[in-house]
Amino acid sequence: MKKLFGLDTDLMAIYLLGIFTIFAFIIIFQALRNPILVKLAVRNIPKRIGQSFLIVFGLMLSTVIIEASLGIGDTVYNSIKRTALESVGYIDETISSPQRFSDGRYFPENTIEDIDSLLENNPQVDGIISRISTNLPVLNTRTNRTEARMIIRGYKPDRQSSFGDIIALDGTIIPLVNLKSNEVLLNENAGEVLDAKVGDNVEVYTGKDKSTFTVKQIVQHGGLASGGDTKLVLMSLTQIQTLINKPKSIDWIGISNTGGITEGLDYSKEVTNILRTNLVDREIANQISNIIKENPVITDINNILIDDSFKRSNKLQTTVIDDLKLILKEIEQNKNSNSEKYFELIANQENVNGLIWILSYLEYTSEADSVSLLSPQLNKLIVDETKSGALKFAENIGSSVTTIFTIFGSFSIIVGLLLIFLVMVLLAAARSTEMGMARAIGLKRRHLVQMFIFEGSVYALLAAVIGTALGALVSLALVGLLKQAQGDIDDFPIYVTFTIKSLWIAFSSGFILTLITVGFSSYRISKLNIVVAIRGLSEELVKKQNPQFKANLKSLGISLIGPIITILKFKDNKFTINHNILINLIKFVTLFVISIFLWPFNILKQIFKLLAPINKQGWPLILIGIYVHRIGINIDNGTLFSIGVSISILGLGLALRRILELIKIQRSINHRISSTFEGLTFLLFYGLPFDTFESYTGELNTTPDIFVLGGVAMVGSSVWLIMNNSDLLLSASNKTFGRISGLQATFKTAVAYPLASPFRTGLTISMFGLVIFTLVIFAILNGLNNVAAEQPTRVTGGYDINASVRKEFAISLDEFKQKINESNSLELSQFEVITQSGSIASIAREKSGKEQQFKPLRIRYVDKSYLNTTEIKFSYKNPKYAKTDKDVWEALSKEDNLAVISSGAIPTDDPFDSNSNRFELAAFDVEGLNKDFWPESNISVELLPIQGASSPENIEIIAVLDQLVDSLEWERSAYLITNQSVANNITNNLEEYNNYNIKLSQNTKAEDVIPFLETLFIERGLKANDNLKEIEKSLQTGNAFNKLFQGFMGLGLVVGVIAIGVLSIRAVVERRKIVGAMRAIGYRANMVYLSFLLESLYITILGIMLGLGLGTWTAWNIFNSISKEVEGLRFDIPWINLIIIILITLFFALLSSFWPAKQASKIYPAEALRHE
Amino acid sequence: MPNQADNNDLFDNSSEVMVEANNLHKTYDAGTFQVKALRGVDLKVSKGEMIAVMGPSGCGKTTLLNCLSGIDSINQGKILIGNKPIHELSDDQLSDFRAKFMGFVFQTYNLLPVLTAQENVELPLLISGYSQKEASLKSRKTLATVGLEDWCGHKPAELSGGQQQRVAIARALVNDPVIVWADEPTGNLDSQNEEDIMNLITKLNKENKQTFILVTHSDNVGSKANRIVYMKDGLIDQKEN
Ligand SMILES: Nc1ncnc2c1ncn2[C@@H]1O[C@H](COP(=O)(O)OP(=O)(O)OP(=O)(O)O)[C@@H](O)[C@H]1O
Ligand SMILES: [Mg+2]
Repeated sequence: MKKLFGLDTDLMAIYLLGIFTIFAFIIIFQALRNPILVKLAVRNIPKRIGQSFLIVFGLMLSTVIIEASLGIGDTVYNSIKRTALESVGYIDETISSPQRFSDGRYFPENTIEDIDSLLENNPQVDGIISRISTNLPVLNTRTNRTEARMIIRGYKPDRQSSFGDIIALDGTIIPLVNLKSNEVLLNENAGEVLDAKVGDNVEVYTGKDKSTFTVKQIVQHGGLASGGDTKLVLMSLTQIQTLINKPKSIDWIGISNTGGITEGLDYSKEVTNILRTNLVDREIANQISNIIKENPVITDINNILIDDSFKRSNKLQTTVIDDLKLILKEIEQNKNSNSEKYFELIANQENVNGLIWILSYLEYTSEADSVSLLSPQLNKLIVDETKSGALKFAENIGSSVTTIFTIFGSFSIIVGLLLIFLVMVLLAAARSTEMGMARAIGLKRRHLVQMFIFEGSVYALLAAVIGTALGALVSLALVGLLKQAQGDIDDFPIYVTFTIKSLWIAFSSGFILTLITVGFSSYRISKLNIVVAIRGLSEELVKKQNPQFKANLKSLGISLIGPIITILKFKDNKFTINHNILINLIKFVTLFVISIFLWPFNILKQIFKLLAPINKQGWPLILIGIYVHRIGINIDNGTLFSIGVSISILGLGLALRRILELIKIQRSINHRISSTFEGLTFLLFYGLPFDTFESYTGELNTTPDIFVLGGVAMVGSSVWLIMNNSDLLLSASNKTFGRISGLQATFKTAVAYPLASPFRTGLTISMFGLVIFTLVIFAILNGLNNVAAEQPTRVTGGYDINASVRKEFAISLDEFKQKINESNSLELSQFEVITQSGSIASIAREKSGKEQQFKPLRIRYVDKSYLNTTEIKFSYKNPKYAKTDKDVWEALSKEDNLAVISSGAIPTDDPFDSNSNRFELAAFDVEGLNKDFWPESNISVELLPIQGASSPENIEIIAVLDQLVDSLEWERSAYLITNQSVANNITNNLEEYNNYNIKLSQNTKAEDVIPFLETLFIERGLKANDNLKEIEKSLQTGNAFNKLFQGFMGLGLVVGVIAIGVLSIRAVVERRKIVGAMRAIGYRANMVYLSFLLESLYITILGIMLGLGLGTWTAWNIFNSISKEVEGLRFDIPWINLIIIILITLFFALLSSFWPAKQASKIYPAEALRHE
Repeated sequence: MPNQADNNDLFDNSSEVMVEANNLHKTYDAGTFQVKALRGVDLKVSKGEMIAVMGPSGCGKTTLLNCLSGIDSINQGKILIGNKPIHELSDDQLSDFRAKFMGFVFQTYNLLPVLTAQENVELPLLISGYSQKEASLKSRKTLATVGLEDWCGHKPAELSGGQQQRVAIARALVNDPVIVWADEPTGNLDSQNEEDIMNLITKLNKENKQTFILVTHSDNVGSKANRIVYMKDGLIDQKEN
């Protein structure tokens, strides 16, 4: 994978290497300085091997989760990549007509000679080949197997050499030249679907006619035989020209770069540039430069391009911005005639689109218009970087899969880090006597921290290694689940992949995160009053003393001359010992180099320390927060906005503390008031509906990381709130459950202990809270998908079957009916309604919209009977035209300039939506959309057909389709539905229908009709879908993915359960004596046992309830924002699913504290009481 | 209300002899060698008596106390508390017995740090089946008798050593036990506090006619007792008595 969270993974790996090295250096540096501390620290590890093992286990879980998500992302990426590479083979660039549809896409065969001369003597190119590719129905006469959409390709045989051999299954090489005019090759996929063998006769239907060919060979995938999931019939160019009657025509030229399949990629950019420069229509390109050459246009564009805030706003890709800068430079430097460089750059359609976008952004409307009108004619032939494009696609999917897993995994990762913290705190408690002794023999606090870090880094290293390995195993298991999720939907091959890079990223980030946590906890531990900590009293983390300003200033001064101090110290300590001079010298140099390295960090740290007292007054944080949240608004980034507000809230909390302190409020009351304020404000800020602040911020762009931020903030602040008001919870608990007779005494201790150690209890509650939070949201949102199953007509429109043929093979309604009538297997009476539709590609823009750039917008045109019978609903409709949904369809059938638009064209704030080039209606870019909304002014859209030049056509949009209509699609898409005359108006010719929506009569089942229908129209290549079955399939996939995620999130529960176990073990050790006393005053052994179990249960239940509450709350917010767009959603809490999750959690939490509780009950009172 | 009626017959309230131990032997197995902590102790304590067990360190005082109160087992001999042989009881029965009829005071107080003084005192009541309401009432009254009525809501960490020990005494007495065991109850206290605590104990002993068995190193404490039992090498030192 190349990208993760939008970051380049190569860079990430290098940065991680850098940080890893720094960390390693720091540790080695400190170790060299204090070898005795290292010995003291590390000696503990083999001494208590069982404990060490447990610690490593606890520390490793974060790494496991990181590697698991990376591993699964790599696998997905590599699977798509291999499929893509297999299907493009040696072809790096392709050339095709700007018109991509029907007959317009063919161009003269001899065009290839122009390309030959362009690339003649170019060392980067080793082959050029022409072809025609089309898809046609094929029948194997021996087996009667058919394929309605078989891809048929004819290549120019004498140019085959650089594109790899075509190899038969038996290993013989078959040059295309050797094919007789009635012979074809099938690739493996094609052979499989047709169940064909050598010598079979296959019939290829070309609309009115059919031709018969003999299968000469079935050939292996790869090269021109393609592969992946492509089913292919291969022949020579002349054969296909004859077959489809396109003599002397081709529709495609492929170019192979020098080198093999992947090496060719390196030249892709350069070769593409040469081709584009020469294939661009220079006349049109000159016209474009004339438009932007004028002042002030060019200066204005220049200014906006160098404006940093524009660049940050992410409206345009940085590559486009850089290209545009170059274009302007070229224009300015060559006033009279445009340079080659200019033609090269302007030939790239992305750059032209960027230009149009900027022009309309700067409100040069007429200029933008002219350029948009010129742009379709700019390129005579379109050059595509096919292979790198295919790889980019694989890359995108792979990284979005990884992103989703890491986003949701980050909850578990955070939980894992909390566990590390917990383990370290408990380790410190276990080491308390030892640490006390160490202090007694004169070690400083700082030394204790170092000792912990030394010991911790050994654990961290082991944990990172084992965690990475285990993570790889987990990702294997997840890939297994993924395969299940994919099911029999398509036969996309999955190749399990692990890359060194990902393993390194997982290992190093795991190590670094673990080490940082270890360092942080060590630091906190050193501030910890050990005696207090062991008793588990409320002040577990004792307030640190603020050193004097002067002392801080002095430290800052010392840090400024850090390296010199190192030299002085070294001289004092080491050279006095009479060691080998050389070793001392090496030591000295290493230390010196490292100290220079650490210098700036130290200075920063000291400055921060110096400023800490001012920071405590709160106002600096408030100001920083205000600044950050403004940046968030300015650059349209929701995450930054939220971070800014959060910082301000923290600042307000500090300020409140300060004020209450000044008016002499008692410290504990002050703390309670302030922390309650902080907790509530945070919770409220993150719990409010998503659009609460929209009137102030405008619609902010959100990325998926907002979920992590929001989830952690909500859980964290509620835990903060609860733990700082734990007495209320305590008395509430005691008043309810504490009343159960026989349990009273047991319950009292079970509740009092955890609430008396707010820190560790809070951590554990957060762990469970976070995981359950995610699981609940997932379960509830997955349930929303069920609307499609409950109200299938909203998806299908009431039609049972959706059938289609290629446009060239369009079947008229009469013919359709007649054939059915004549057939033996079908009756006309089985069909209630047969409606027709078709679609054409067009580009469009909204009149009076913000953007003046034309964007792709498909037009679906439908016939009268569709308009009369469809049951598709709308989410918004123009009240002037329609009161009911039926009215809308009626209006469409009566008036010719009206259309309805898909919900994909409504601007969305869905953080997982990444397509920014989709057509969107600015008129709907408003807050608080509700069902009755319709923009004040009419929505008029200007349409420009892609095929057949003609002037733009204006149509009015009168309704927005129900979102459910497209619920089976993977991506949001923008399209219009109109009646046929609208389509005819823009294309100037009668568009034919090639799509049939069929409603069957009452007792007819789709599955009984479809096979016969497909056979009946085999020569037209008709493909029919069972609409209800499609819905079912998509639900199954959704459920399978849900399971996959639950499995993945389950890793987080593992962490929580382990934490509960660790806590219980610790509690037993810490409380031996008290347990002895409890036994003495009359607790039975099983009361002690129960008390420990209840304690774990209580913590777990608190976490679960928190997660349930916050998860439902957040899901409710998500639900509300979705249900504004989709009508009829029901907010269902999937109780059974949740109860199962809860029971599993409780079960394992109990299981993990079962053993410690048993140990506690076995404590022998006389024994326990004797030991002080 | 106390509900373990079945335990009532374990204890014979009419007996004038509260504790009777015959030929007690206790041997600790310390891995490579054995420690004979008790080597045939005979002891009789009558109802309402307050005795102090004294002797050099390691002579077996704590062991004796633990064995007599049933929190440690014996290897040989007989222990009758109110005529009932407690060495024959099961672990659960012993727990119930302790909850109802015995109170304990330790040298290091051993209060539950997470509970308030009052909650600590309530625990024995809750174990023996009192309702929370009764328990609160009774424990507050008992805390008042040890002079801590104003400290009910405080946690042990917020109390001085002397105060903590008084809470511990309240906890030991709240159940109206017939015997109170105290192993060096003043061992961690200064002399002023020792004096206060001992005055309190003697007063309670007089008022409630409860039997007190104290282990102590302090002559002052010993002097408050009705009788001092000296121990030496796991035996009652007959000469000293
Ligand atoms: N669990 C044990 N294992 C082995 N030996 C033990 C154990 N407990 C006590 N002993 C030994 O039994 C003997 C009696 O101990 P005990 O604690 O009863 O003495 P003590 O009179 O209470 O002393 P002190 O005044 O110091 O408290 C001692 O020698 C002691 O070392
Ligand atoms: Mg003792």
